Amino acid sequence: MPDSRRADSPLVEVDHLTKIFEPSPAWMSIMLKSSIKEPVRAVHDLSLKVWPGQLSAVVGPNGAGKSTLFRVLTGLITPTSGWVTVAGIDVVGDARTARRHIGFMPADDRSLNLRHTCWQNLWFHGRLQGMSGPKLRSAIDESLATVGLEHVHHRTGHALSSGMKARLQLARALLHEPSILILDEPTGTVDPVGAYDLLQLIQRLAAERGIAVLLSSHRLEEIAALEDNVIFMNHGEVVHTGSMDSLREVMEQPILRLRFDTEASARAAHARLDAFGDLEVSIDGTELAVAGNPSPGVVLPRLGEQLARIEAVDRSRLPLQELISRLMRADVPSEARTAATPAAAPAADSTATSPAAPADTVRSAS
Amino acid sequence: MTAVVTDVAPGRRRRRSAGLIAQARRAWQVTSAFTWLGYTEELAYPLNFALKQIQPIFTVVVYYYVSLLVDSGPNVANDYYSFVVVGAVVVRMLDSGLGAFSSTLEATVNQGRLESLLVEPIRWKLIPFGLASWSIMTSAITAAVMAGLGVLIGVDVKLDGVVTATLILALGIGASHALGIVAAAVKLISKRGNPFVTLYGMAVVLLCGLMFPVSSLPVPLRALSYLLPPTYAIQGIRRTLLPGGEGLTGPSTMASVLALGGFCVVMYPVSLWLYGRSVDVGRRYGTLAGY
Repeated sequence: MPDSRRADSPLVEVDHLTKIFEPSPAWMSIMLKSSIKEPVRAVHDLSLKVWPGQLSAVVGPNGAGKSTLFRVLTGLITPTSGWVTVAGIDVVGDARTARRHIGFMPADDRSLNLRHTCWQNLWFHGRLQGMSGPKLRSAIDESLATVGLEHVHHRTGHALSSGMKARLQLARALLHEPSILILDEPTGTVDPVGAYDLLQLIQRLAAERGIAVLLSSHRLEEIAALEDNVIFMNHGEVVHTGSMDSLREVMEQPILRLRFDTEASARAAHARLDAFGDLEVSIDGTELAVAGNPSPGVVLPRLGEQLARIEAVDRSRLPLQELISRLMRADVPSEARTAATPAAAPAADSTATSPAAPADTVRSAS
Repeated sequence: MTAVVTDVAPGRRRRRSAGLIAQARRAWQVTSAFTWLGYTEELAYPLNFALKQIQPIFTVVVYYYVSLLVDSGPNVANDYYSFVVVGAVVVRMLDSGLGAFSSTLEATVNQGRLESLLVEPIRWKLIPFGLASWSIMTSAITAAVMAGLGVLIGVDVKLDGVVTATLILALGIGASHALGIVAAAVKLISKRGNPFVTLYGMAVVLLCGLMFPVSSLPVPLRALSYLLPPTYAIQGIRRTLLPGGEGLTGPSTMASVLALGGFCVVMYPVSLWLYGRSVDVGRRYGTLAGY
């Protein structure tokens, strides 16, 4: 196992990355008109680590900075400031060597040559990777088998379904046995069942081969499935990282609802709880609503004899869509930004942090 | 101490040689993969491929009938047909590199495949060479077919001039490729169209003596023609290949070799530097893979 796969060092390390897209200079605008009229901050002071065998999902709305992050990681864009290493190699200083360690799957399936067969697409990629002969042929067969396309190896790209094209792109990314997979919306054009299967495959590959996977996604079911390693980005910043549970703890603040048998019972219970002075309680007919994410174990014993008058207790969770929507709209509490596992944690965990945005003159990407 | 230096130097040389061989092998591997890509893509559209090969042959036949109407004086080496066919073959060879570098790059951008190429672990400077390799190869074959057909129909050449003509042609192609890399550098930023290639193509037809001698041009335009490599390649090859070529006006064979060699020595490093700068600009402004 090469050094780059050692479990005690991250395979992807982004340290205080900032990318500000400047408007093109006048000489350049003559040839290609730029839509940028003022500096756009696509990524701001972003730090993250991805460890061997770990799958991290980067989630955020359009313009959040996900694609810019991926393009910096693959050396297609130079950062304005910050430090990015892949398998310990500085991406800015030695992008070509760094790219040897990366399997990249772009969001657009046009990156495949649709006139070529599956086998030919992989052959061309393998040659550019420096592979040849029997080694290349067996690698192609193995990659196609891994993604379940061995039976259609002779089909051209045009004859593949969207799901198959996504799998072929994944096979191409895997062909040279990279230690890092960067997948830009890998399931974007795939139906929900196909997307689920593809995600399962990616998770299995990460676990079995020790590959560090960084993928972007818009799909809620995927975000739920990857809930331990989700990096939420908005306006170029990480607004939350870690598990969905930690996000719920910070963002959800569920309300405890208590329904009583009569309005009199409800009013009596309201008076008892109010007397403690540390809970925010409201009453609506027979129902009490206790805000501030209180534990039933704390609230219920305070009700005394009114406890027997309760007909129902409800502490419902927000749907994922609403939770994420709140996160993207909200001024995120500072603890949410640092909710990730500590940097010193072992290989199975990730970190991603970004401080609150300073008041500057740069417009965020939108 | 001397003995140590003597021991180390061959080791370094061996390592350097091994490194150069590895780089050459890698360049061959990448270029051959791109050539295969071009070949398979071309054959995916057989009719288009066939028509592209046939069209230059018609050009040679058309020149034959035009030559019947043109007086063949000493300023066209006493044989206008040979004069114009040699010019057309040379221009075709030289243009292939220039046009192919930017047109194949544009096609790759428009097909959405440039980004996936840029994330391959290959030198980005190899990409325009690779993308153009098939086009350059087919142009060379077509030019050879044009030349062969021309000879069959009546082009008269001196066989003892073939070696010198080949040298001049190689230098001309080198100079043309250097300009092609400049065109690719512009294309990386401009994305569509290429003012450089368009203007250059017009200048070559008008100024470089493809269909008429450069001496026919007014003096200011004649001066401009000597800034363009095809002028030297066309004139040099006509002088060495055509039986009446020694009497042609314009640069001598030696002047052509020196001028084209100078173009290559100066333009190659400059064009590669420009291409590198263009890539850097694309990475900075995020426009590298866009269109």
